[in-house]
Amino acid sequence: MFFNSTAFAIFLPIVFFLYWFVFNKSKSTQNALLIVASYYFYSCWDWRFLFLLVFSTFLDYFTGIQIEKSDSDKKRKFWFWLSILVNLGFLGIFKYYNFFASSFAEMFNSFGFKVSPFLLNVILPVGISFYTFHGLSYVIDIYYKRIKAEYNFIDYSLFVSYFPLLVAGPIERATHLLPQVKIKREFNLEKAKEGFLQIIWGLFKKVVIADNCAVYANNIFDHYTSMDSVSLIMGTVYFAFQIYGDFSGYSDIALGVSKLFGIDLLKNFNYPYFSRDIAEFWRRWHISLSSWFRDYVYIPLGGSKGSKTIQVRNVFIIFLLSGFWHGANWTYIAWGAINAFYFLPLLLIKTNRNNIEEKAISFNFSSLKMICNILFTFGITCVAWIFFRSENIHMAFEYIKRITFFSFDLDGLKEQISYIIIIILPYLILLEWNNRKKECPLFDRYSGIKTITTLIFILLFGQFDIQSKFIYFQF
Amino acid sequence: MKFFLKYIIGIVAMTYIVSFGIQYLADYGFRNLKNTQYNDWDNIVNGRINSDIIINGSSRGFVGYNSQIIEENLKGDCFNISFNAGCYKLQQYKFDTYLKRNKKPKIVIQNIDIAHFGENKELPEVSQFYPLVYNEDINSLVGKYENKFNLFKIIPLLKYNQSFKMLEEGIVANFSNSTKKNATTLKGYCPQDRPFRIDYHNLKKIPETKTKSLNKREIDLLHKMIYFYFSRLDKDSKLIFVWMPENKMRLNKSYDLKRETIVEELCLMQKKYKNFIFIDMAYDDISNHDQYYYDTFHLNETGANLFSKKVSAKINEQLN
Repeated sequence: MFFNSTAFAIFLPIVFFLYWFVFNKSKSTQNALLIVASYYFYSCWDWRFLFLLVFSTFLDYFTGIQIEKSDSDKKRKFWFWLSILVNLGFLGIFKYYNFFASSFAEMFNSFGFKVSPFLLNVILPVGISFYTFHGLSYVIDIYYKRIKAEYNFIDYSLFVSYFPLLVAGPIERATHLLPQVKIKREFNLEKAKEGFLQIIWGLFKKVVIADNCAVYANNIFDHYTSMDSVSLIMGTVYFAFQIYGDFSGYSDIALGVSKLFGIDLLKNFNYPYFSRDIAEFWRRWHISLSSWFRDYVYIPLGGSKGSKTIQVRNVFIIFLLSGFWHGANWTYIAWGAINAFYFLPLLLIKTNRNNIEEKAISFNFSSLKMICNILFTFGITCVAWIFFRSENIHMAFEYIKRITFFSFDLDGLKEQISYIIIIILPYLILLEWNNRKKECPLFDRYSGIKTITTLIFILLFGQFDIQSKFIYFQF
Repeated sequence: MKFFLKYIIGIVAMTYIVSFGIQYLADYGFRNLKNTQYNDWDNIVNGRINSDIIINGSSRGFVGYNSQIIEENLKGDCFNISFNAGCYKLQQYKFDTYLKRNKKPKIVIQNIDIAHFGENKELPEVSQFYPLVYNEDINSLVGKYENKFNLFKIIPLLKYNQSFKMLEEGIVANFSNSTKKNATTLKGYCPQDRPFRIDYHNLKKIPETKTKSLNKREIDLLHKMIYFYFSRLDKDSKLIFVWMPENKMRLNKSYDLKRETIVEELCLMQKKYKNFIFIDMAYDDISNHDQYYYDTFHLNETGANLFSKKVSAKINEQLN
């Protein structure tokens, strides 16, 4: 059941109605309803993987309690590592086994040993990377005594399987979500309104921006060998907007849906393409994953403290892990590595925290410099996206090589642009730029006009004939 | 909660009002833009045609029969209701729609060819119906092929989804009378000012056959086609089937075998039915000249004008 499907358009109002009118007696009834709804939502993809979700939930629930109850360090470590290894084991088997098996086989083959790897014929359970990371953060926080273990299984299950974030995040923290599910939610008009608007904006980003850009991006990437340089550059720009619209659109819908149930989720995107340097980009893009790696990998490794060598190592570790998290493919690892290379100079010359504050645009040199920085950051991000979108490393390099030919074909270019794109992209950019201090561009001033215009754009430009998946479901 | 529901209803209602407003403007513009197929449909469903001579057919009829020339030669008001409809059922449906609000014609000219006998799985050129989505007659026609038309009635602007250019054209039509080249209609006829280009995709569609035979279904169909008109027209009305000239590139052996059997059957029917006339012009001299076609299947404006003169002379011959 996709957020942009008719099934979800029926499912959501039913759950909303039951939640606020039938199961609103207590927090337990509210949570019970949300769990049933979440399991139903998840089973719409593949009910068999529901067992994996329940098992993962039970494992972390149980080990969390055991860690807290254990009186010796040895026992605490045992339960901690049991949870970590089983969680990562599942992720490893389903997501990475085939990649490692075939990569090792290739390596042996290149040395002259004939090896045919045993590959698993399994499909990746949807959302496994997301709910595994929920569980891991919970167990790690208990182990380091940042939080108490949750003894109410219903509450804990809801933390793991809450349907708005179940399949593509944001990756929640127990410290943020659990306290909210432990109290009865009262209806809050302002929050519900915000949720409604955020759903509309998310839907716009998905069905209008992402799905329209996808038509052109797919065409260019699928036929890159016959495209001129300008078309190839446009292909990367289209993909940049496609992936942004797709993933941040999903996150907006998730946050909006959750607000309808009175629960706030972590903000996942903060207008990343307005970043003035790559460090700022990573503070604004997929925030829940970046902060997860920062808190559970980067800082425990020493972060930006210690020698330059340690700093460089830590930066590479988190960026490579971040790339690898997206999928078992060298292209994602390369994408992570490129971002590490982008980030490293800023860290080494200590300018990575230069652009924290928002600045207004005016007619002066500093604003011009800011715009140039934004365009430069967007440009280098697009180069990295080539690796993310390509089927393999060779294709990515070939794609870049063809850009450097500086060829130009006016007729070809005309095919890569349409009046729809000319209308929707400036609308997105203008609205987001003018409202970049708000969580959602449709909030506050002129909200009604902005919302109605956006709804009209969805009706006019939305892609409804294709049942397109969200890109991040595969992760 | 009450306020929240009111808020949602308010937003949805406002969106509806604005969207319906925009949609109405575009629909109205299209329906009233003279010399377009939208305006022709509007005139048909509102009973504003009432011609003595009606031409029916598919795209070949649409671009090949100049109603004004035929009207001058046959001395009767003539209108071409052919459309890019493909097969016979849709053409018959259009004729029925025409009869609902317009007077019965005295002469019906039906263009036929091999493609005529097929069945439409999809509605061709569906956008021609968009401005008339709320018309019951149009809806019952389109609803058979496109489920989404029911959605179009309740969700504004959805029919113009991904067709922004069309929406824009419709709105502009309220303030301008200009029509597009090769989409302008003159009494239903749509002249094509285009040079000849070989349409290989259409050539491939010619059915392969080795024997000269019609199957039972096709013979039944021929009878039903004739019965369809006679059951609807007045007793003394004339029904004329015309096989318009095909480009020489289409006239191969396989094509002939299939065509001949249809022609033979139609000739038999001509003897059987008093008011039925069959005019076979497939091999007319027009076939030999590419300059009369814009592809191997369709006449261009020059070809259509010449053919219309020729066919009306032949009809005159038969009628007198």
